[in-house]
Amino acid sequence: MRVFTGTLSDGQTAAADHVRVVPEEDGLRIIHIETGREEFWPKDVLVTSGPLLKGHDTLLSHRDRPASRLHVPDPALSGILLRQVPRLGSRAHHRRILMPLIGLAVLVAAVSAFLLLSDFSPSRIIAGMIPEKARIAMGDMLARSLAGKGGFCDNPAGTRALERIVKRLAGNIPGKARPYRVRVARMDIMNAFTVPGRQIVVSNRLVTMTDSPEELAGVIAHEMGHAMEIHPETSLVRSLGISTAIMLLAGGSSDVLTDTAALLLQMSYSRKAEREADDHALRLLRESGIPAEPLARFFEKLKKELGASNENRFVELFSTHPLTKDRIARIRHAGTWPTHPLLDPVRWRALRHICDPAGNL
Amino acid sequence: MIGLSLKILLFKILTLGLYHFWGKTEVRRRLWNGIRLNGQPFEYTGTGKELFFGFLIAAVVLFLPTMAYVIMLAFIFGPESRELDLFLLPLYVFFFFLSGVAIYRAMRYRLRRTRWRGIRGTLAGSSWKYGWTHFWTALTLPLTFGWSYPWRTVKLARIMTEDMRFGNRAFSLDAHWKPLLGPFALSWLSIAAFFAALAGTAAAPLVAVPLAVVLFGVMIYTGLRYRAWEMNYLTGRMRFDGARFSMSATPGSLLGLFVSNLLIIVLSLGILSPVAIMRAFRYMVTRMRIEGDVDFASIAQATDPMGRTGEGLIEALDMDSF
Repeated sequence: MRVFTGTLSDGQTAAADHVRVVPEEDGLRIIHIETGREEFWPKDVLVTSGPLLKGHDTLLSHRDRPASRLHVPDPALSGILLRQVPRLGSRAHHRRILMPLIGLAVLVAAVSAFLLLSDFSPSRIIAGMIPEKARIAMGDMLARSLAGKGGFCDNPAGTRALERIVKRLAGNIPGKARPYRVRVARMDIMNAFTVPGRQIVVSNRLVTMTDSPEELAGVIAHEMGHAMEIHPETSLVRSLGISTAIMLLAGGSSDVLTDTAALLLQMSYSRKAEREADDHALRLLRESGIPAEPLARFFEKLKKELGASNENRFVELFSTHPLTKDRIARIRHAGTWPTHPLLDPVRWRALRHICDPAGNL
Repeated sequence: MIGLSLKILLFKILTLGLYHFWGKTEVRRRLWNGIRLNGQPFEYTGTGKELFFGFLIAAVVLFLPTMAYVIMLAFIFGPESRELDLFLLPLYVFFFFLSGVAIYRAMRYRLRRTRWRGIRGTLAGSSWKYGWTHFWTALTLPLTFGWSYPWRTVKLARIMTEDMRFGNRAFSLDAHWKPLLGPFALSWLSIAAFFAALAGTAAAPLVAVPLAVVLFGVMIYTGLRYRAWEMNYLTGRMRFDGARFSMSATPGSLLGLFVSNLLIIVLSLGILSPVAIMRAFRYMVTRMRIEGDVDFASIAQATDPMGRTGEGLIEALDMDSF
């Protein structure tokens, strides 16, 4: 049997007794040199504040007397103890710490991955919490800001024709009938936007570019799809950050709103959002008895135009609506359904001239 | 320590950084174990869990009200307004006040988790009181163009040292700011001279540029000389029972330590920072001497509560040293 020398402190005072330490099969026998008193520390009461390291001195405590310390400078004791009580070693120590931590890390990673891959979107949840009134007020402000100096076109005959298209489409939106507001703006660019509060702005250049009321209806149906999915609200919340979102929740201040108009112009929707809007558009068109093919044709026309003039300003704008072959193909493959005419030629002509002064027709 | 640094890095990667607090604990355990007094080692008994929860609690306690306050201001004044900046100022002031509280609490946590012969330390005073002194004395610095610095240093060191306990026994510090004034004045004047030369580089570059280079060296040297003087003086005036302390820091060795540690941290991208911490620690320990007798049998265990978590505030404010 090896005998080690060391010191034992009781943890009551800072004094230390010189002791002999004899490792036995089931624990340590400790003999106080000065008094001859003996005590026995069984294996399972031995504790340390950190892992016991091989080749280092040994500093032990007693489970039931946590302030007591037994110190043995001879590094040989730690080797003996590590064989007898493996739980004091660094492997056991690291396992105790790392297992729960790695578990926690895996959990965090899994939850993050799930949130990323799933439809969970905090921005959308917050967007959904914005009160109806605030959405409409905010959207109206943004629409006015987008229209700029040109303002909105209000030729009465044209407006009535536009109303007809909107009513036909909106009449087929499920749930409570909620008003959709579609306005044509005198804008130099060719685009259609949806702003919060189910409000849609179509530039007059886009109106004149469409060859049929069905084409225009397709574009409007697509924008209605964005409105139904509260895409504009969601995008605003996402790009403006949480603090502004909270202000919008409370109704917003005018400063914030005007600044966001510019932002809205640059905003792009994800492919997923565009597909959702396309799906809604196809459903609305089918239920309204309007063919989908003109929308596909319009997209094709647009694509060609974009390809031809790369330097153009509106190209940049339309690049925020990714126009892929897939999207056109999806519309084409939606099938056909019974249709009936949307606008007679007189009304269509009125709509195309919506930006002319009143009484021109 | 290099092996330990790499192990900590590996574990941090495996746990997405969560191991930070446990790694810190492990480094401290090694550092404390390296110090011997009468042949017996010091022991660090803190745990990573305590640091982790301390951080979580402080982060929540600090972060949530701060967010609420900022959002409320943005509501009232709108973002990017002048009023917003104005009302954020008290927040900065409050955070500076908290930094003093955090320093004291971190020190207290470390002392409570430090044992020798099973007896632990503590700080017996109030962290809010220390935080307040730390705060208001800092306000004197700009008012006196920095000249209150030695006075403030001694004042804070005295609170900290005299609150310090090993078991139930207190430390004392018999220090005054006057002995620090000479070296401080030299350092202050060197800084002033350097900036004066720097201001003159536009007017007379041929004279002022070389002068500024020389004065920069002088400024560094006198700064380190003051620092070494301060460390040696404050340690030398400390007492514990019958024990006297002394410290032998020198400007040259301090410079060597700063530069080499900076290189170690920068070149290893921070991975070897435990090595740098150990070197700084070793510098202090090897240059410190303790003489005299202490009646250890008369020192009883400390009886104040241990506290369940540690250093949350200092971690949350990101101002920790080791």
